[in-house]
Amino acid sequence: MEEKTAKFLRSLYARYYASHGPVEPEDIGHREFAFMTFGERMVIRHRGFGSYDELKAFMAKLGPSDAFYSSAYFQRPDEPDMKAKGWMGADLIFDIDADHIPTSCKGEHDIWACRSCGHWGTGEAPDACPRCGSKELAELKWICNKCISAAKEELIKLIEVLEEDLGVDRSDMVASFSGHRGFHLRVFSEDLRNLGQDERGEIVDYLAAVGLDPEALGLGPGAKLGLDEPGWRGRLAKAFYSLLYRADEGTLRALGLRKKAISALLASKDLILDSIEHGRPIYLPRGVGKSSLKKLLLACAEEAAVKVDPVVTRDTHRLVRMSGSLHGKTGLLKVDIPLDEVEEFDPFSSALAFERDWAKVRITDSLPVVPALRLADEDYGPFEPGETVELPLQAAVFLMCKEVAELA
Amino acid sequence: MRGGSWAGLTKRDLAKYPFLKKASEYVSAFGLDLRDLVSPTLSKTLERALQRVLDAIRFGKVSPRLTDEDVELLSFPVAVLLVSLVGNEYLKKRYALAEAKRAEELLASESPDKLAVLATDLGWDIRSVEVPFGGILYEFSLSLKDYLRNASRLKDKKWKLVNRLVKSGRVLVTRLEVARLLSEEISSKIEELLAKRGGLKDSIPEGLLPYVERIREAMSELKMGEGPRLEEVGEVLFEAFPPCMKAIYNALHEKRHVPHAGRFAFTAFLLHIGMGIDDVVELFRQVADFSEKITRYQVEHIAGERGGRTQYTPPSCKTMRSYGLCVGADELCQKVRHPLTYYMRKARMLKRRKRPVKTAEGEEGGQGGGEDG
Repeated sequence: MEEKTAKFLRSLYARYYASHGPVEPEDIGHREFAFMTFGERMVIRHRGFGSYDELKAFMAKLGPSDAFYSSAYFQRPDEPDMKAKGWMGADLIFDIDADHIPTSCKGEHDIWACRSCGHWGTGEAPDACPRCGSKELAELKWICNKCISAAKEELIKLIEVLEEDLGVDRSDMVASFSGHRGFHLRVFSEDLRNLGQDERGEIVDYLAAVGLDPEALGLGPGAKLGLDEPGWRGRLAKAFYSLLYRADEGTLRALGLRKKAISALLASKDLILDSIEHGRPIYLPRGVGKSSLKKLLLACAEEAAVKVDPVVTRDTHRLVRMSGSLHGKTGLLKVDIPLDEVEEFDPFSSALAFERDWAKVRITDSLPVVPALRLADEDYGPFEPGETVELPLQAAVFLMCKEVAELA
Repeated sequence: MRGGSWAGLTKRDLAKYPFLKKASEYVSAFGLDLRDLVSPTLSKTLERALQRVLDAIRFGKVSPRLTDEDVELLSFPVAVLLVSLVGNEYLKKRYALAEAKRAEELLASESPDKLAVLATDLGWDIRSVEVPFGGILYEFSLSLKDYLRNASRLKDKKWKLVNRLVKSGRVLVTRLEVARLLSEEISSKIEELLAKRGGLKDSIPEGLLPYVERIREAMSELKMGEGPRLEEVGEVLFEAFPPCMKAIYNALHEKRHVPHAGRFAFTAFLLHIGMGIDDVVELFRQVADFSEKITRYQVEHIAGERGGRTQYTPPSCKTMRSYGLCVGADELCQKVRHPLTYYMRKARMLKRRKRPVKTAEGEEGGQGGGEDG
């Protein structure tokens, strides 16, 4: 990023914070704050603020590219030594990143290009350029409605499992769009605040069905299984039902089942579905034994699992992006979303910060093309390398933050 | 469980479970004076206290015999005092565990009502239910946090939350499972007690000193708490690496992608088994996509020389599993919960084996992790 662009973004963000400020974090006096800056990417950590006004003034002066606060509560949040901070507990946090969910659109809009020979391709970047072997690759990860929808689905599943299975009160949950490619869910519950790493890890494993063992859940041949059973038994029952309902030879073969088992399953589909509907022992035809059942159930678990980032949730000292702050890679806001509005939430119209003004930018030439962008129901691009365009501020900021454009 | 629950505890219960809140109230009211050496109650109490600790050292479990209720009850805090006077961390853990095992045996034959009363005294949110499922009768439901606090320390897959029946934040458990989970609670409660007594050394009644000495002797007879520590293992033995660390090493070596969590775990592991920062950086130079500046910064950070000054410990087996870094367990893996424990044990085994005869060596050679490039 050129200094001119960095300076522009710094002052733009600073002005934004002077008039808006972030959402006030709960229990501000016990949180650690951290910031990053445009250009030199300075990291400022271990800051504490006595009041919201102090925090807002600091951000309005600095114009940080990214602003974080600790999920943990500390007695002395501004101590640089982690041990001396005095950990008092931490909110339970979940991160759903579209990056970790395979979607078809990544092959369409993620691009990489070799900085030395110019060779390029779409999708995830390889470790080295397949043509010249150079490891200097420019990489662009884009976002679109497809990625966002996939992540949203996980968020909806997450809220459901937390509420139904783990008994987390909806009023203790705050969902947000991260400002980039994903969603966060924070749980503010006195009950769960003191959980350690391993305990949080158990919650993640529960959501992601890691270590799920059908037999430990009492699910072998002859076991009863009903759709409204609690916990993973019920989830498996539902997933098993719908898997079987729409199963054909191809889907079952993909699960590694043998020919004999596949034809037996398909032939007695109705009997099996019926047995689950009525909570009777699962009807298993001849040719479908213990290992086939296990394969099927594990595939169901995989399907029903909630794809959260395990590292984030386990960490009891995590920094979380502040709600109402701008993302340094997009210029979009991290915004909180009421739980019952997740489904219809559209970041490309609800996370916009800059409504007026235009800016002229020059597209860089590190990539052969910059994909199109849709903001507030308007399409921009695709853009050619070297092209100079005048765009609404939000779109221009997006391209500069993504480092595919410089201020012209 | 509710209002009249104290009535549910008899003096005999307190003697069986002397770590209960109600038990310590009883002890305070009894007012045993540790300097009153002629008191017959005190001498019996001291003997039983010593027995408790010696049982822990020799058998890993305090015998659940019960002769005199007062002696049984009073001897527990005295034993705690003795153990903290010895001041050995290993003994503290072993003693806490041995008391928990004694309690578990007694708990296993209690009625469901009594179990609920005991659990409530220990601070649990427990409810009686009656849910039969797959041939098993679940008699209790536990709050999520009480379940996790205790079950997350247990290894068997049946304790994993994902393999439990969970609804609205309540986890179903059987009677025997309650006994097992309570024993976890008890061992951490006792460890806490021992940690608190740490600073009492000034006012030791002299009469206790011979008992402390007896405990020290018993420990040294069994060479307890003197097991080889990592730093004594000496040079880094690649052969002793657990499968997960070998896999990360190989992946780095073949320039395959290793996620951040894997690099972190590997680095912390290497630092903990005694490799210096420079050696670790050098190893990364040889095997991986490498930026010296970034690598050095990260390694120093993990070593605790930068940033928060925390020296990071490599993740436990459990964490490795949930990050998808566990590559499947070998025989030794089944017996450990931490990659470092694996390394220490394996290194010890290899050294022992090497001493008498030089046996055929693994293809990796014996000099340590950084030798080939």
